[in-house]
Amino acid sequence: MEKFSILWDSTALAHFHYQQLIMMGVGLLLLYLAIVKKFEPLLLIPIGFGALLTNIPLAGFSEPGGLLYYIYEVGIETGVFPLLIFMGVGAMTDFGALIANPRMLLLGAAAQFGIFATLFGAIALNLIPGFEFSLKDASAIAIIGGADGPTAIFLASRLSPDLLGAIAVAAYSYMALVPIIQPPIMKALTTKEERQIKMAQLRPVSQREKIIFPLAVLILTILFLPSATPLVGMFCFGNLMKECGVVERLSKTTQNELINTTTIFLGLAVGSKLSADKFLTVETLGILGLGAVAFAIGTATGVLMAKLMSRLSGGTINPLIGAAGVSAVPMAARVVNKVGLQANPHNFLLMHAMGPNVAGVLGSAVAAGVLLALVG
Amino acid sequence: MNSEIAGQLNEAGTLMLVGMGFVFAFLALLIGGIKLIEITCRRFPGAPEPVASASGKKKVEQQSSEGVAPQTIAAISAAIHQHRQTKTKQQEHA
Repeated sequence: MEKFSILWDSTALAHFHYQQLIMMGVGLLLLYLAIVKKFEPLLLIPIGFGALLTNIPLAGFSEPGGLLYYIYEVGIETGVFPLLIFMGVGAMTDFGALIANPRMLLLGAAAQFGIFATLFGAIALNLIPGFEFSLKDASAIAIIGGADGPTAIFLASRLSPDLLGAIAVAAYSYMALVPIIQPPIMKALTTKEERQIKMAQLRPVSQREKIIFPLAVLILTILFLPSATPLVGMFCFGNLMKECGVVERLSKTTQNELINTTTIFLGLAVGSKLSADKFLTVETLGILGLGAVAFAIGTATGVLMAKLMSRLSGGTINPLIGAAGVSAVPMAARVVNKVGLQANPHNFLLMHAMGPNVAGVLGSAVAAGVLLALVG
Repeated sequence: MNSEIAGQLNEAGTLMLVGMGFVFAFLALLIGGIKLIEITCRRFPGAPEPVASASGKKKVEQQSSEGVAPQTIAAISAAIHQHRQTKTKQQEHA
């Protein structure tokens, strides 16, 4: 009989806490969203599975000695994984559309207002009892508005590791929801005539310009914002490998094997942060709410800036492309194209939206650097 | 307690102004940078040979793509685009 009770004691059944069951439910929900709804499956599958593993009683995946503990310590605590992913993103990004029309950088900048407005909003939430966000927490939450997964994870791991799970889940969920969040805001802020504006074809960009561009970005970052060099530096490195054309093998590895391998471990490590004590809090609700606000504000300021530029340029810019300034490459640009086609079935805005889209990636990396420099 | 939050809000407000200002200034500077690159590249159209001689195979590929008329490229990319668009629509319906 004693043996039986020892055996019973070694099963998970005897040790399940209801909170762990809830978190496993959250993990299963993420798996469902990824598999059935196709929401960012590349990330939500590792994250959801990591959430399942980390909440197994007795197994100790996320305690010293456990697999996920080490993956987290090696990859995210150090900031290595998000930076490797950023290098891969750099190697997949074509800056041609931006170099052909550099004014689009202003749209990428305007859309970052979502980040800073959310920072303010997160601190304002402290007025409600139950919320106690420090300035660091608020900055880490606000970066969700940058709509850039690796940037959000990198900043959260630096400023507020306890909130990392919720922030990463919110960031990737809202990126998947871009086609639902953005169009109503875009339509509300523009008139039908504005949405029909056709834009002039972009000039061709030479390979030399594309090679010099990442170096120029890096030099500017070195001079003015060294705190952003981890992000921008890796991004530019990846981009240079792609554009220079002499290290095709490295560029291919960066774009495929390396980023895929890193994504698997990054997802698992983020999932390991979805433990009951860190996730089942009021703060998580606040983070999810603030994330949606951040996206909405970023979209709105991007569109408004584009509207302003459209007026100043005498109607040669379609204000819809401002919405692509929130990064979320290439989803946001596709959404712009779709909304544009609804207004005028012969108006293809995709290439024009890629400019502000990649500008948004740079913009959110710069914003992350500013937050690191001022708050970190 | 409330004065503490007021202080934090103040700080967040400052951060908002400084941050946005910096992001705009940085990216505006980058606009200048890109213009500069464009002008230099145009002024010194540099021999494309050195790049090509490094990898002869590449040169052939590049030339063949340059030989296509811009109208043709525009038509092809529009067609590809439309195809992709319908594909994503189908996926969404699925």
